Amino acid sequence: MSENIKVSEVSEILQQQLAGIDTQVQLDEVGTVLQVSDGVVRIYGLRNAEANELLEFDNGIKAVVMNLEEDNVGAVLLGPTDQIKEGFTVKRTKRIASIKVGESMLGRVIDPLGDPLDGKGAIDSSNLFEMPL
Amino acid sequence: MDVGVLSMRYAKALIGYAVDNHVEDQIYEVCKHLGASFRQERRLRSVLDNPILTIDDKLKLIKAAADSKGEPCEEFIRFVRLVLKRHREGYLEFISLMYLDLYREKKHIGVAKLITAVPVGAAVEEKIRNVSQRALHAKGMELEALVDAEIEGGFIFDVNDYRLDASIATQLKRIKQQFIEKNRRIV
Repeated sequence: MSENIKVSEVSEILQQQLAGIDTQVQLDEVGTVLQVSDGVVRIYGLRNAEANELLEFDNGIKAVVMNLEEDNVGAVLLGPTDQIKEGFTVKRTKRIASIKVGESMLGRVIDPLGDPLDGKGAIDSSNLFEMPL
Repeated sequence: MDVGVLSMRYAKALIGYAVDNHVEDQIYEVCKHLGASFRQERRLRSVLDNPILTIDDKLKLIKAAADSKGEPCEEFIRFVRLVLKRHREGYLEFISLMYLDLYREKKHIGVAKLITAVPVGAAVEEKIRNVSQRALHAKGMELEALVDAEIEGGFIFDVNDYRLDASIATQLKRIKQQFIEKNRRIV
């Protein structure tokens, strides 16, 4: 197997993969986790967060804003609670939690945000429409 | 539970009381220290919520958490007694954070944090402080410079509620995430 792999092919594939990668520095609105319990997280800051907006932690776990208060928001975690600790930083994604639906979703295994988990590649999004969660 | 509403009312009352008694600066320092204590010792909130402890025990705890140099000012102690009397000690962390926000808004003070992989010199810190103060039209700027080798390189700059993340570690994470999304495979 290793005899058939050429270095030039590997570097070509890598270049293709790296083409179009977005590395621009972004200015994000962030908050700090104050309290975590039972799948619900209370975040200090995020004054401009919107209801049902998706938030993202540094480790990639997402949460959905459920409760908006003057200087803190309550959000429901879309991942394991034990991986989120008090003091973690969380940023706004400025996307409302929604899921794409359509014919091409039939027979696919997806996570709560509609991303495929079955290893069959990306879902054809040409005929999909967004439905809020 | 309206944590925000409740905490804001107490915080507004505290700042009003502090301004009337000309101790708003002292209470600002006390609240900063109290907030840091809550962050460093996460069990503090649950201990304050414990109904077995008496009000006096909780007051001693809060005094110790609020000031390392000695007793906080009398006005703050009176406020804490009121909070304890009303059984709102579970909200004390939120109240102190809101007080800090209200104070900074009143005094036009900006807050920034610079995280780098290696220490930056005092001249660079001063330059960043001045630039961010001008950009925010603030009368004062609190800049905290931290060193965190885990960011690998670059910097992270937090100013008020915004973050400019130009660290190498975050860029690598984003590249990895984009690889995964492109291929839908864990690499």
